[in-house]
Amino acid sequence: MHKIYKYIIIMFFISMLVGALLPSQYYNDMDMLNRSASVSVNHLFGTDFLGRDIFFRMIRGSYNVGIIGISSILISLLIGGFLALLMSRKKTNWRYVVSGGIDILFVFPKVLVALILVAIFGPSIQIAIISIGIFFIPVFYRVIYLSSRSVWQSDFVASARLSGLSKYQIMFVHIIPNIYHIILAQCTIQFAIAIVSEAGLGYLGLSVDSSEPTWGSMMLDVQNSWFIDPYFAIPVGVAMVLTTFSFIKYSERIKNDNSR
Amino acid sequence: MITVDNLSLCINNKQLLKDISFSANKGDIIGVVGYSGSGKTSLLKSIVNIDKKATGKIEYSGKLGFLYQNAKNSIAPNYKIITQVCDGVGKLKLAKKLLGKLGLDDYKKSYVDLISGGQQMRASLAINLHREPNILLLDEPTANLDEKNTQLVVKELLSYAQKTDCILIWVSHDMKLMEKITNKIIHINNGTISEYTDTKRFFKSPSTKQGKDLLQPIPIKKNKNKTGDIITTLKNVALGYNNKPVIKDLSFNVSLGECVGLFGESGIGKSTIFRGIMGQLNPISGTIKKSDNIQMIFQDARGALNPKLTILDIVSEPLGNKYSAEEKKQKVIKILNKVGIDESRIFDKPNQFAGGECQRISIGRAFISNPDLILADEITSALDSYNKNMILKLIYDLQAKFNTAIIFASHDYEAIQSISHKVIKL
Repeated sequence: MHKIYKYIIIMFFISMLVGALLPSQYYNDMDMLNRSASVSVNHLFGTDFLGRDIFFRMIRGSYNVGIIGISSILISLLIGGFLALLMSRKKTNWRYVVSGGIDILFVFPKVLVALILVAIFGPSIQIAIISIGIFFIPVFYRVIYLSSRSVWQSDFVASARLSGLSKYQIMFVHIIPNIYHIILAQCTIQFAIAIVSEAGLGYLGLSVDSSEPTWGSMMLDVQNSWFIDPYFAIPVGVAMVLTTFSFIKYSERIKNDNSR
Repeated sequence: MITVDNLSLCINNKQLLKDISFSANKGDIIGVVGYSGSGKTSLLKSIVNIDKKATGKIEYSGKLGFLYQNAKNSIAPNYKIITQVCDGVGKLKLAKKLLGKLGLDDYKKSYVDLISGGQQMRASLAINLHREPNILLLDEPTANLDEKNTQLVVKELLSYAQKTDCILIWVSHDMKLMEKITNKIIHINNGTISEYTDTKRFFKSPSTKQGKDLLQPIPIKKNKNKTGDIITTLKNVALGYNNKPVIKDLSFNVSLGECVGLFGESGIGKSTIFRGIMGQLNPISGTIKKSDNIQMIFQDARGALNPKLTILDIVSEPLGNKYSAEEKKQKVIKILNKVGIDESRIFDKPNQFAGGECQRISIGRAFISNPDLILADEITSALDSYNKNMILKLIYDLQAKFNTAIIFASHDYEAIQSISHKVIKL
């Protein structure tokens, strides 16, 4: 029972896979006779105020949320992580420039970034990925910068330099294996934050266009039909809470396993 | 009174301890001696049995205490020393008295990170003695201490043992100290007790060959001075940081097959010279002509090995991309045999080796690519006298074999003199 978070994470990824393969009529077709219906055999979690199946929308939503989370983490990890690994190597003036830029990025609200991008390009999944990704760059930069700095200064890196390894070789052989668990734990926790961030953006209608459901946009739908059908909030809300909780719990587990 | 019966410890299919049985009475001071990596520390840890992996029966009356070699890690960093000595609520008077006796009066309100290594060990000792243990396990308490601190710690321990009839089980490499203070000796070899007798008898005539080896200091004959080409030249070099020279007007040559000793107290700039030779630091004035093929051995052997890599990867790193994987493996096995590490352990990680073994691996790593010059920075300072002699002999042997130039920096004049051909005093 105490490892239930693992099963929740596995279930999330399974639902992501199913969601990826799900034909659009399952989650977009409107059953006009059964609008705002409650739980039944035809509609496992009922339907929303337009008669769309909530269960399938949640599954498709988990796919969208997962794609947004994974892609934004990949973007920020690549940019922030690479900059951090390079900048932690030596004391150069570039370090101040980059750190200053990262700090400015950090105080820039993600909603503002999303608003600007949506105003220019219109809402799409790419916009959500980029704005959450930009929001995460400073987090990864700081975590990786601080943890890799001490590794760069260690004796085994000094002797690797003497042996003629290039800085990129040293990065992959010595630095990354020693901070790998920190990166992994941070990725896991960022995934949980990405789910919540996406919900925030989706709620404001900044996440994906209206043909695709995400957990955030479903929350927006809840608000529109709040007085007719308040029950609609429960499945999405519970799914979101359980998933974020499980990912945070799992990240703690990674940290504890490696700090022994 | 403590009785240990058939104590065994097996971790990752490796038998660290096997059928250890002994008993001790009140007031006994037992010295545990043996080679590095033979299982001395494992024995102490198994008696406490923190991780519950040891099997066998251990019976004792009273309280156990455990004094770690690394005192800093055994003291919580966020509490004042005095708070920890009396466990927050204990007898404050006794705590103050203990700290006073150990010369820590001025550091009562200090924190562990702010005091020196010797003071940390004394603080750790005060914490242990305040709990008034009946059996005290000591894991090389004096290995990292200088002469003065060693005397203080030993004196306090002995007076406590005499006063309370406490059993001391004392792991150490320092044979002279063991002969002086203990009344029984346990000699551990390969995880088993090879001898458990009176101290006098052990030091008079040990019954096993290993025991005899343990008692004999390793004699080091100086290399015949057959010098080759000049490898590295320093001419009127000034080195320092932010244009403030730490080293001024230093000139010397190093030739192949020669060992140059750099003698000076810590903090005088030995590491700065090395950074200059390695090319990490540009000289303020003067010239450094150096070879490209340089390796370095560090004081902190464990910190010089990447904890995530296997010994095979670590040692083969200087070889570069010239060799195939199989050739690399053969070369690593060859050099590990020379430094006395078993070849079956090449896939182990550094944390599975003892401190002295780590230094051997570092030495093997430095010699494997047959470099022109090896920089040795205080490589024996963190080691006990037994390991120190072994390492010096190893360096001496390998140098004769590979005809390498060595710059050996230390604050230990005896060590420098035993292997270097010329000594530079800073």
